[in-house]
Amino acid sequence: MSRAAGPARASLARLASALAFHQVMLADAHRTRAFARALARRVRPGKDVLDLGSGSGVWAVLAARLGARRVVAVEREAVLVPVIQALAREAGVADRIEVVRADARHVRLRRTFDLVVGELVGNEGFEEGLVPVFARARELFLREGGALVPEAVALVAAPARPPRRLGLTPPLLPAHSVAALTAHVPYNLHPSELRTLAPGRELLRVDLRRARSQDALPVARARFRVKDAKAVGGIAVWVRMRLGPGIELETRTRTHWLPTFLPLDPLPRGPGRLDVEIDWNTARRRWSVDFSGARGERRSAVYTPLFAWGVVRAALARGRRRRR
Amino acid sequence: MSRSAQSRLAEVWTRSPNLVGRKIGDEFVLVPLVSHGADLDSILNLSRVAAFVWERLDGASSGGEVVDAVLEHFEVERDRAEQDYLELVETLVELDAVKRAPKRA
Repeated sequence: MSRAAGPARASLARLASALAFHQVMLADAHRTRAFARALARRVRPGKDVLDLGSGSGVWAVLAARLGARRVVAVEREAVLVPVIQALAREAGVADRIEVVRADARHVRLRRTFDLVVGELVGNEGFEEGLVPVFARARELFLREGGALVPEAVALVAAPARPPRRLGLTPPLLPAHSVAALTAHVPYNLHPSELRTLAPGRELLRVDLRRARSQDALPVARARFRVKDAKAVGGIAVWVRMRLGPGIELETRTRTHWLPTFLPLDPLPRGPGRLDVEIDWNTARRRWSVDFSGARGERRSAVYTPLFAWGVVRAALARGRRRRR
Repeated sequence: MSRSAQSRLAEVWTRSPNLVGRKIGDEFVLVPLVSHGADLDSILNLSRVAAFVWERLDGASSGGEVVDAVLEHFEVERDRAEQDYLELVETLVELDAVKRAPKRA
């Protein structure tokens, strides 16, 4: 009994966490409507559908309800397999859905499909492995003329005001040391906190119908004009997905996804131009801004979490030396 | 000072655009901007004096002039400052963090 208690507790924690996560997604009506429209457009009776990273199984089950002949739902979380199966039974399509417990990045399947759907889009767009997973699925499992949902994912950016909640509110402690580190780390904002100061511009777009798994994201550049640079606290980045012809979903507002905020040092007062360069690849994430003010002021700065890492690494090394 | 050290102090160095430096609190961190996954061990932490020197490797000041500036700002013997400067430049050259600037006319 005692030996089983540990794994059982771990599974319970995983189930609770997974269900809580999927509850938030299922409650996101904007997202759900957009994906459902895309599936309704793509799924035809008799077609075969592959759902990668199936989660609660909602897209696999919906595809079957739309008439798909065969649906394979791939999910790596063991605790979600019975959840998907129960949803399929409840919807009366259990006989057409096969649930495969596997990681979408490595899954092996013997059949091919007319449609691959996968909601592997994180707050930052690509951090859940969307590009390599879809590239592999396209190569191994997608039939000639088959479709993908989503079929393209883009990053959109705009200069934005600093979030009001930054820092300890109400002020409890001086926190400059923490603020100096967080100034180099991207963080997520609730959409209600996001106040942009210029129209969003698309930084980069990955066409999942063509992207190769090993492709790095290109360094993205965009230019913005602002009326008062002093108001700019950072660059907000969010995701735009093309789910199908005429069906786009943007995570700027109204969805459960959270925009990412890239903080900047204070800029001078007055109008000016911001030339922004962003390397979004996780292992070398950095962003830089060249500011040119209408009165001739210029500021340039580069930001990367590696600066924060350098500071913390030095402190760790000092601690080790003291202990010796 | 040896003739070799003297000639090395006459050289002018400029920072590579492939590295960026940032002062955070009391630390000065130097980060290479790489085109592939970052090598976390290639991040450098510079002392206050080394950071002061780094910011003066501007393609205009010779080693001797940088050492003069160090002597103005820090309490250190000239011999020690020159030796530390040359060692730092050697390290930065090994890391491809600095380039020799064209000779001044």
